[in-house]
Formats: sequence, C-alpha cells, structure tokens
Amino acid sequence: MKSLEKVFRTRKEFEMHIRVIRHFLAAHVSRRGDLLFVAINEAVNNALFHGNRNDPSKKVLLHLSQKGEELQISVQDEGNRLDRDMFFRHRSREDADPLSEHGRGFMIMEGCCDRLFFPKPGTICMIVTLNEKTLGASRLPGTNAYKEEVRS
Amino acid sequence: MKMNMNVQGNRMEVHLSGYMYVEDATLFREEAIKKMGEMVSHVEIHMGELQFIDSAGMGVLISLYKRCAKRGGTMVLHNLRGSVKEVFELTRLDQIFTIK
Repeated sequence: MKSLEKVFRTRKEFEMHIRVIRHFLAAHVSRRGDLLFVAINEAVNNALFHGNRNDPSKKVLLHLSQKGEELQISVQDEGNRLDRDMFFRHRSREDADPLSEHGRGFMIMEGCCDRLFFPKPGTICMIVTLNEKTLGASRLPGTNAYKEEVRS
Repeated sequence: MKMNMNVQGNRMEVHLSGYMYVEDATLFREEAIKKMGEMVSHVEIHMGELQFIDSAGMGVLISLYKRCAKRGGTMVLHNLRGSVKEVFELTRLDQIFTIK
C-alpha cells in the first residue's frame, strides 16, 4: 500500500484508525515510525482542537503517501487559520520560555520531518525523505541518535 | 494509560504505563494535583513502561515540575525509553528535567 487516507471528526474516531496508521508507518519507515506517529498525533490534535475548534460537524483529513523517496503526510482541517503564523508564534515563545506548557507540538512535528510547510489555511504538510542516508539511520532528523549516525 | 500514585509525607511516587494521549494527560494532571495537595514537594515519576507521550503530557509534566520548584522541591523522571525518550530530546526537555 503506497497511500493511506483517513477522515474523522473527533479524537475517538481518530483513535479507531491508530493501529492502521502505525502499521502503514512501520511498513514504510521501519523503526522511525514510532516517532513519526507522535508528530502525526500532534498535527491531528492541532487540527481537531485548534483548527476545527472541537466541532464534531467538521472533518479532518489525514493523508499519507509514499512518492519515490519521499513520505508525504498532510493533515487538513476545516478551519481558516494560518498554521504558519501559529507555528512561528509558538517557536518564539519556546525560545523565550523553555518552561512553557504549550506549543511543543510544532517542535515535535518540525523535528520529526525533513520539511514542514503550510500550503494553505488549515493544512499542515510534513515530508520525510527516504533516501539511503535516512533509511540507514534508526531515527528521525531532530534526534540525537540520528545526528550521531549521520555524523559517523 | 495506567497510573499509580503513592504519597508519603512530602514525597509522591508515580508509575506510568501504556499510552498517554491528550485525554489521559488531562486525567493525569487532575489526579496528580489532587494527590499532591499542599504537602508534596518531591515527585519521582517512573516512565519505563510508558510507550507514548505527546505535547499535552509534556505540558502536564512541566506544570508538576513548576509546582515542585515553587515549593522548594524536586521532580525526577526515571527510565525514559524509545520514542518517549526521543520526544524529550526533540523538545529539549531532557536538558531541563532531572532524568535517571
């Protein structure tokens, strides 16, 4: 299976898909799947709670697909927020206060992928490159294990 | 997620296992704050059997850490493993908490 698409409106509905999502990740990115799932979970929470503001009439669309040497993940909600603005606001708050209780979701998403971008309001995209170098590494770009492995 | 908390004097010991999703984090925050009451200032959290934590769970840990610090106490995390450990590295919280 090269792609996976799930639609849900609540956390409970999302949780029914977790096993399949984890299975897809394990098949495509091997050991790195566990950490990548944490990033997807953050994007989903962001979409449900901030994008759709917990409104069960609104949908979230999660799409994962492998295209060549890239795994593309997109999470789309029905809100009109510019996540890019929120991302930079949270990042500056993190830099200012390392004991902030909020905003680490974006840090996790950014650290787990090679590219994080916001193509339109309400949509977050993460790209993970599956080239020889990263496939050999046990973990994702932001982690110490990855940095050590690539350095050596 | 399963959580087990024991309080003795000004110390609280916590054992977490399973998956701490956002809804579990909310319950954990409520329960931990209730158990800590006015007395507890030292908290030990055993996380060797915790397989998942997200930013909501981390927010709860920071909140407990700040509560201990305000009372002149400490908070120590034990046995972080797998993706839980890596998420702490990613968010640089491994440089803030005492981890054993």
